[in-house]
Amino acid sequence: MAGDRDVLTAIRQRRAVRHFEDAPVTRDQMLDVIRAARWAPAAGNKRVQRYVAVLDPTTIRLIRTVTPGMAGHPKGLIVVCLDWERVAALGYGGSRSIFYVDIGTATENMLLAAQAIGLGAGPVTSFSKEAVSVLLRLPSRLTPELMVILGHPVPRRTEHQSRPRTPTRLGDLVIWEHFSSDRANDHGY
Amino acid sequence: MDDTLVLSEAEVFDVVAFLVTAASLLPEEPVDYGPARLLTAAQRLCAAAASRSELSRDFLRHLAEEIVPRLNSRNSDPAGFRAFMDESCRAIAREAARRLGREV
Repeated sequence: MAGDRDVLTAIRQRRAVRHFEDAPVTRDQMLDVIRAARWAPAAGNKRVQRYVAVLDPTTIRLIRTVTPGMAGHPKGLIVVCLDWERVAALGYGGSRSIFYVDIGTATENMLLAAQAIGLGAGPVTSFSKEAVSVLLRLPSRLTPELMVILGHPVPRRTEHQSRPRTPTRLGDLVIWEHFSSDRANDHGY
Repeated sequence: MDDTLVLSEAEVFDVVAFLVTAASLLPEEPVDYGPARLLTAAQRLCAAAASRSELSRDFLRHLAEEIVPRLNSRNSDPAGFRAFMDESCRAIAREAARRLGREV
């Protein structure tokens, strides 16, 4: 299978966007982003996530009110929920951390898809689940776990929220073959 | 003049909602989120109140403008962030005294 360097470029260029211009996000754009989540790898292909797509400005404003982690004013929201009835129906017991891994893979796909169609997006987890559940009228079987905020990004030179890149080296992250405390894994990259 | 109303119903409600929801989240969040959330709330109050303030308009506007970039650089420049918070506290003391006509 031929490689696709464009994917690597897209991954490197993606940034969490927090501030947005006034231009609206369309329903089709939201569906493009959610479609990408659908193609994300998921444990056992069970798909226990549900996505609440929000474009109504009043609802977005209300959700922003109970979301300390939302700095800017997005024009669309995708709230990723877990469907616990579906989890139970599938017979999952014990650790359910796998479903949070699935939320992560779906979220990364959505962030990359948003970038691909010219939108900016960012993940937000600092919100009151209880309050968001009320505002979205979620049944008890659904819990909101993460939201992706969407909009047309403010150009980076004027986006006052842009942060310096984290100075983490690849060598700080990678352990080759096995752990060693003598820094034998420090290859200088 | 000291009892001039400078916030709207909506502005107060938004900040209260922000503070209460932040408080509910902070026990499970990184410790540096605490100062960040409080400063964000302060920034929102300053930004909302500055235009209607009679005693501290410039002070509030300046603080609101200062907080945002400092919050964004708190991880890359923790010493600068610490220094900013210390200087902000000193500035608040000077402003509080000035509002009461006291030299400090």
